[in-house]
Formats: sequence, structure tokens, C-alpha cells
Amino acid sequence: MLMPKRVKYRKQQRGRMRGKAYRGGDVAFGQYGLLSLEPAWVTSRQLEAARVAITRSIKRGGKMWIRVFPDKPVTKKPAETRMGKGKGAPETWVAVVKPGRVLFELEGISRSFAQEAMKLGASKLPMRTRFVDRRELGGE
Amino acid sequence: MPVIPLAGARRDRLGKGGARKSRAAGQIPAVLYGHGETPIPVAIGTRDFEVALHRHEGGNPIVSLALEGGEYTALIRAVQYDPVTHHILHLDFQHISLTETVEVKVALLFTGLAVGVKDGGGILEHIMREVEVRCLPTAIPPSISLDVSHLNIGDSVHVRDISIPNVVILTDAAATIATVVPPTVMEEKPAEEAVVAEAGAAEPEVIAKGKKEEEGEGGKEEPKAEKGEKKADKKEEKREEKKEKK
Repeated sequence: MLMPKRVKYRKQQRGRMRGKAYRGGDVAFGQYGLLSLEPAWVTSRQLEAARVAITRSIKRGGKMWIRVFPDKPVTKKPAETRMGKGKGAPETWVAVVKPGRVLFELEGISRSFAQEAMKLGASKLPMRTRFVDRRELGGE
Repeated sequence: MPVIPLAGARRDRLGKGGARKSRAAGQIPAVLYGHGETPIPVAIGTRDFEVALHRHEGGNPIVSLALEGGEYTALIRAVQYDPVTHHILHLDFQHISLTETVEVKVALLFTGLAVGVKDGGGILEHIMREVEVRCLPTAIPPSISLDVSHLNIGDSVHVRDISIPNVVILTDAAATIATVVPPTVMEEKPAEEAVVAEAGAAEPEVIAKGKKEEEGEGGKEEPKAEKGEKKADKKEEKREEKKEKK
């Protein structure tokens, strides 16, 4: 599963997810993309599940890119613990995703196959998504 | 390339407030610049723009922008989109002369199915999707077609393979445009291995200053927590004793 190799600090504050993603919103590497429509924390497990679903769907053909990385640690207190005594231990890693962010990209397969693969991958993610094409003014 | 007629109006209100007002009124805020002139903030009707560019092919439309002060031949240099709705937020028009050369990026269009993809099961990897060219505005090609049907696995197409009359290609001639790569082999790890790998990589290395803190935390946290729990237990015992006495 995806997680950073080295970090400066073990724990982070939660933060807010306001606004839209004004970076990482274009299909940059492939031909098709999966665009996020809602803000969410995508865990490394969810990303891995989506990746496996997409890879299995496209089988050997095509190439895939993951455009987000889970670099935010999320902590959790153990069960049946009283409040206080400091912040819990790091539990998982998440990617902070805002609406308008491209999550996955595909290339080398037909549009219908890509749509099907992205649909399967999107079902593993915690937010609404949309299938998008590479953007060209006036079309190709 | 045909010049697309487009009507616009000068914009009085500037900044994000003015731009938002324009969008609310069904217009796209834009700016016209170039030729050493003072930039002119303009607004274009959203519907007019969509209709005008509906039949345009390629990524470098040339428009004849009619404003109150006259008519300007302009190239659409940049388009800003909303990340979610993909509506156009802003346009950049560059005032050009039809007799002076311009430098633009032209999209590459791949035709044919590569032999390596068809028979060998390879993947056509697009390394470059557009090339930079210098030419007269009227000679800008909508796209550059490249036949990739002869490519076998390991073969590539380079910028030097492109030849278009009246167009100078500025991108490095040795640069690779596309290559056919062998098919990727899916490696499925056995379940046990995956679990071991997961457990081993549960926490990443903390660099420099943070590492010392972590070590310090790890050593002191647990005894503290134990002490706290013992105190809480003693308090509860005392309360129970009091209740029994009563």
C-alpha cells in the first residue's frame, strides 16, 4: 500500500477541505481520467483497492497512473480508552482530495474499456467521481 | 486556418469582483494583449463563444475580435477552466498580425494501429502530445498527423519524422514522440507476503529532529499512561469503599 518512506513528523492536525482543487485537475499523462466531485480523505487501502480493480479490468493492455498520494497520517485512540493522555497512534495514511482532482489516468485502451475500468475503480472510493477525457479546445 | 468572427465588449469592472459579475451575466471575462499595446479587459458572451468555436478544430483558434474601439485579430493563448464543471472561467487573447510569424503548440494526432500493439500486445506510449512550431497564423495546422502503424515493440517515432510545409518545428528533433512498449506483466503477491510487507512498513522513518522526539515520546509515553490508569483505578476503589460505608 502507498505511504511515505520518510516523514518529518509522525502526526498531523486534521485540517479542512475547503474549495476546489486548482492543481492536479487536468488529465496530464493519459487519455482518460477519473475526476473527484466531492472532498474526501482517500485512504491508502481505498486507493489500493481501486488500483487493483482498474488493473484487473484492463488486464494487460493499457497504462495507468495514480495522481494522488496518501501522505497524511491519521491517528486513532485505542478502543475503550479514556479521553486525554495525548493524541493516539498513527493508524492509516490518507490523500486529501478536493473536488476537481484527477485521481487515476488511463491510456492505451478504448474509451468504453476505460469507462468500465474507471467505474469499477470508482466504486472503491469514498466520493462521487466522473469519467473525463483529455481537454482540447475545439476538439481534436 | 479560418479567422473566426467574435463580438465582445470592454469591461469596466476589473478584479475578481468584476470577473464574477461578468460570469453571472452570462459572459466570459477575458483580456486582450500583445503588440506592445496596453492590455484591454474584455467580456465575451458565453453562448457566442461556444457557437463560434463549435466547428473549430485544433487548439489555436484565431478570432477577429470586434470591440467598440475597432477590430482585432487575436490568437486564443490561454483558457482557464473550472476544475469541477469545466466551464470556461477566463480567456487570453493575444493580438497578432496575420503577416508575422507566431510560436504555438500544435497537438499530435496518431493514426493507425501499431503492429507491436496489434500482434505483440504492446502499448503505444505517448511521450509527447504536442510540438512547438513557428509559422504564419494562417498556416497553423489544426493538428499534426503521425502514422504509427509500422511501429513494432521497441520502435519509436521522433520529432525529426515530422515534416510540414511552411512550418518550422522548434521542439528538439531528437525528442521521442511515442514508443511501443512491451505489455506489462501483472505481479500478484501471495496474500501472506502482502500481509508481512504491510506490517513491516506500518510506520515510516522520521527524519532528523522529529526522530529524536519520537524516540523520546516512545520511551516516556507508556509509563505515564500506566501511572494515569493506576491513579484512576485507586480513585474508583476509594469511591466504592465510601459507598459501602454509607
